[in-house]
Amino acid sequence: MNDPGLLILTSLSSGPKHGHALLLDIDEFAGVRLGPGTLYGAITRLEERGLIEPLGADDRRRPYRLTAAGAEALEGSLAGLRRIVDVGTARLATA
Amino acid sequence: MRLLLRVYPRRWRDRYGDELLALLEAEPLTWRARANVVAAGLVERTRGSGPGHLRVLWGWAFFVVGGMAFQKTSEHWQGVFPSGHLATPTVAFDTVQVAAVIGSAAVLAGVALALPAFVRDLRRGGWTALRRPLLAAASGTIVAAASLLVLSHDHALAVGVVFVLSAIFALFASTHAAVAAARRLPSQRVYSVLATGVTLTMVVMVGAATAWFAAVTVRSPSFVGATQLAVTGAFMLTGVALAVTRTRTA
Repeated sequence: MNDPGLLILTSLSSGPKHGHALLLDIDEFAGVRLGPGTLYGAITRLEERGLIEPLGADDRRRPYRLTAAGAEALEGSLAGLRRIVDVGTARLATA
Repeated sequence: MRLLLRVYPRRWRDRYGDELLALLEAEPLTWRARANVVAAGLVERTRGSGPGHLRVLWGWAFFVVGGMAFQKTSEHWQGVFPSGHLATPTVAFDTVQVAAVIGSAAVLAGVALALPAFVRDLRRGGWTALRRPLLAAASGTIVAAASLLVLSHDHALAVGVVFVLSAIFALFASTHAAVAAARRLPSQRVYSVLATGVTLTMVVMVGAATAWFAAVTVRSPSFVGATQLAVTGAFMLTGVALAVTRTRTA
């Protein structure tokens, strides 16, 4: 599971973060080190889709937070993943 | 480090440039990170190229570089190929040629169709917005033409390198100018139809070129070098990838 968009939404679900904090958090909870270009490409897309929004810039760093639509999208994605995990686990148990 | 950000379109840099720069300064800047930024910047450039058919135009520009490499690689190939096994590579080679002609004709038809509206736009003040990309394209073309002229008298390697680099620059600068100009014009369905045709010719050419490379490599393994194959493949596949992505995002 290394979809940058989903990783960013998951990271922001614990509160607003700027780019570097996102990289460190994602590395910590998912063990995935996103490239800087990949991270900002995904941030661009998520912001365009209204799933995250920028807060006031802190120096040159700008924190982002999850929007209501972003929280809903994250819930939907996690529910989908949960179904896959459940089915996979159940099938492995009976194999 | 700011130089790296030049890969991104200006509009993107204005919005996210400082943030990305702050992030790059916070981490050791490895070659992997640099490559990641360059690749992401190129993606942003093609995303910002407007409607899907304009993305196909970018795809075609990449494909043309791959086509030039293929053309250079395949020069005099019949001479080194066993005469009894020419059928498959000949069909594949001819297919590439025919598809290239059809694709070029479709691109030129699109340019011709857009020309009247482009001229009207220039007269109504479009020149101010398009001056920089048009001058860059013209400069690149002049340098390429001049170096080609010199090359016809002097086959020095340096002149050849200048020609190839300036021709590639002219190609991409012209594509950039064409896309910038086309974004100012009303979109028409015919452009989308032409773009689909160009995409199909690229797919056909990739298939035929692969068949040709396979046939030639089996019969004359030393004819095609790994570098030539890599350059041709990289540019052709990038072109097709850009064009095919258009059909999903347009």
